[in-house]
Amino acid sequence: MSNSYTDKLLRVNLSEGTVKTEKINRDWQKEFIGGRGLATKYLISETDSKTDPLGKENKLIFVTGPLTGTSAPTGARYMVVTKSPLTGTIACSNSGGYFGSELKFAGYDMIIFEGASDKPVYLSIYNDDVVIKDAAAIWGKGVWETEDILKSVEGDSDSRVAAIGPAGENKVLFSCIVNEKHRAAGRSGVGAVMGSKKLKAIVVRGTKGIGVSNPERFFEDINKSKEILREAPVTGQALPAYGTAVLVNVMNEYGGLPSYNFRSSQFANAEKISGETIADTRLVANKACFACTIACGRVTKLPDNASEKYIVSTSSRNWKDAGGGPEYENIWAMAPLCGIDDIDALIKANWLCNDLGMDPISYGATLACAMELYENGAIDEKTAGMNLNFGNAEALVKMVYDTGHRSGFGDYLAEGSYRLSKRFSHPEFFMGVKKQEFPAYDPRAVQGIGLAYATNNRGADHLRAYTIASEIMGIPEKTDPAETEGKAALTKLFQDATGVVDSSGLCIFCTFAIGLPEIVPMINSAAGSDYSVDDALKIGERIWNMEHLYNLSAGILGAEDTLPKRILEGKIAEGPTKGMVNKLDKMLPEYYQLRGWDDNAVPSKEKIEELGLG
Amino acid sequence: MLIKVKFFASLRDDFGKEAVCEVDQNSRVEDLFHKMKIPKDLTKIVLVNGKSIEGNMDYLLSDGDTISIFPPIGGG
Ligand code: SF4
Repeated sequence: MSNSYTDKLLRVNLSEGTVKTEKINRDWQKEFIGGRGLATKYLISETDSKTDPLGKENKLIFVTGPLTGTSAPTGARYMVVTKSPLTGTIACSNSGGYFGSELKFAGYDMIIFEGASDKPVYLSIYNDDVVIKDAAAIWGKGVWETEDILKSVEGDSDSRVAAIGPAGENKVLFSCIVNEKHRAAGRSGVGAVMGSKKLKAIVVRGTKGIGVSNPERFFEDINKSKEILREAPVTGQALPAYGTAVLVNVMNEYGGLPSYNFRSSQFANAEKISGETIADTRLVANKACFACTIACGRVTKLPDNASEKYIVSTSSRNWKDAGGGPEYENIWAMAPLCGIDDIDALIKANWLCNDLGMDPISYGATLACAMELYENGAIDEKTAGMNLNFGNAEALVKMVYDTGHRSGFGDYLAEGSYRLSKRFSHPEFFMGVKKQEFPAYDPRAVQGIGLAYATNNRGADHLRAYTIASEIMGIPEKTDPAETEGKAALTKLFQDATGVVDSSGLCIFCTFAIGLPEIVPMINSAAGSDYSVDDALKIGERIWNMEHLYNLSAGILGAEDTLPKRILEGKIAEGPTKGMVNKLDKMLPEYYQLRGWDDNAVPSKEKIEELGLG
Repeated sequence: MLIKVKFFASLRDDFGKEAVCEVDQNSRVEDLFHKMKIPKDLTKIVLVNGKSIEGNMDYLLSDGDTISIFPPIGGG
């Protein structure tokens, strides 16, 4: 029977230079839906959790879900699963655009890269024609030039490219994988793993269709979801008009927009880099990923007088062209967190991150940490090569280039803020969890997100349990951000439900309007499955526990489910959230209890059996 | 009493960025909305001096308060 899985995976051994096609394990597919869950199951089964993330024993898995490439709204996503060189935990980074759908059109649910090549290569996929090719001519080039060259060499302008830039080649610990020049599997350093395998890019072109199991029901289901997405003010109006950047002013007004490396929770010049300012002065258009009816993506352009400012020598970029972003997280990390209010420097730094292939959250947060070290005298101008005071927009642009190339002080920044702060004897300046930098919500001001950061399987991150939806936006229901009560259950529910969304191939932003009661029927009518909403939540719980068990066996124990001292004890100094700290101790024990874990975060035997993870 | 009112996102199309509104003593948020003709269904987040009123339109205003009004928004 036709369904939306291709049931095939590509196994590419880069040490031996071989490519094989295999059938997907159907039992695992049923147990995990696809996407994040399925790829994690493969990674865990095929690698040792203690393996060196940048060694050839680590594997790098690109995976889609049953809704990727279908016309289900936001069915654009692919994920990259591996062991993270930044955190040592499981890594799963998620990207939209058109790469994931194209991979499905070529006939594959998943690609597993194993081993490592001794010379630069790229993988060329044209339906059944899959070849490892020499990448000497593009090694060292930025993501954008790489994409242009590969499209022309492969002779098909409709092909899609996912590539690393110099940052991935240089194993910058927070380098990412970028597709269509401005969409990225961003966090946890998946680009460095790709670089360690000397794999520069994947070019894919597929001309096969994707079937669905029950077309009539599928179209009913997706039309219903599309209508809800269209009618809901957030997905129908706010995200298309302002993108995620609309949050800059919201979080600032509330007193939850960290600035100056979390020394403050508001930024006086937030308006200058806000979503409203970008929409009024720099926005050219909004942009959608494959099958997305929301179109939250930004396309911006610099004014003529800014295009020559802060120029750094990079690829043949014409700075007068329009480019992607910036999104809320990137704006925050590279502007308020560094005390910077120069919108054009920010846009340039963001484009450079995309071209060099680097996570702007971790980059901005690492620079903010360096700025605090500098202002404290732990780093001097000679070491940094320039003045690194908070607010230095020139440093933001210069250091992004140096970090991607690991040149000068950029070599230290390339290790991330955990290692940087330790190197310069101030580990207390690291603002993150499990060696990964925080995203853009102050966990002192918003209690639940603090628990979500602390317990996240991939280190500090907002996308595994976006409790901000409830605590700030009131979606699906408003909870008080200052309250700890109920946040353990909220975090667990969001973590489990997100596992389902990530495994389906949908974008998490669809959940601003639709929930599992709409998503699960779409999965069923596309994939031919018969999950109930409860079954799906159980799968989400299984995925969460599977990732957590991987981390425990890698040596990342419950003691790391914590937050920095500045967040737990350093009261917010001023503004509407003055005096607040995160009360993690009021939430964590209850969270462990709800998870069926002991005080050390070890799942009980019963829980492991219940989830079939024994 | 004088209340500073800040508007965000699409609300700026109709109300501009900022306004100062004079209301009577003991006015509630509801009264200010009424006076400024702000449609309740277009707003989602209302903060008074940075604190969410959590939907309580009877919240009592004080002279010099700043009220920040947002339409439904999302992000990530
Ligand atoms: S909501 Fe935004 S990120 Fe998500 S699929 Fe649509 S355009 Fe892409």
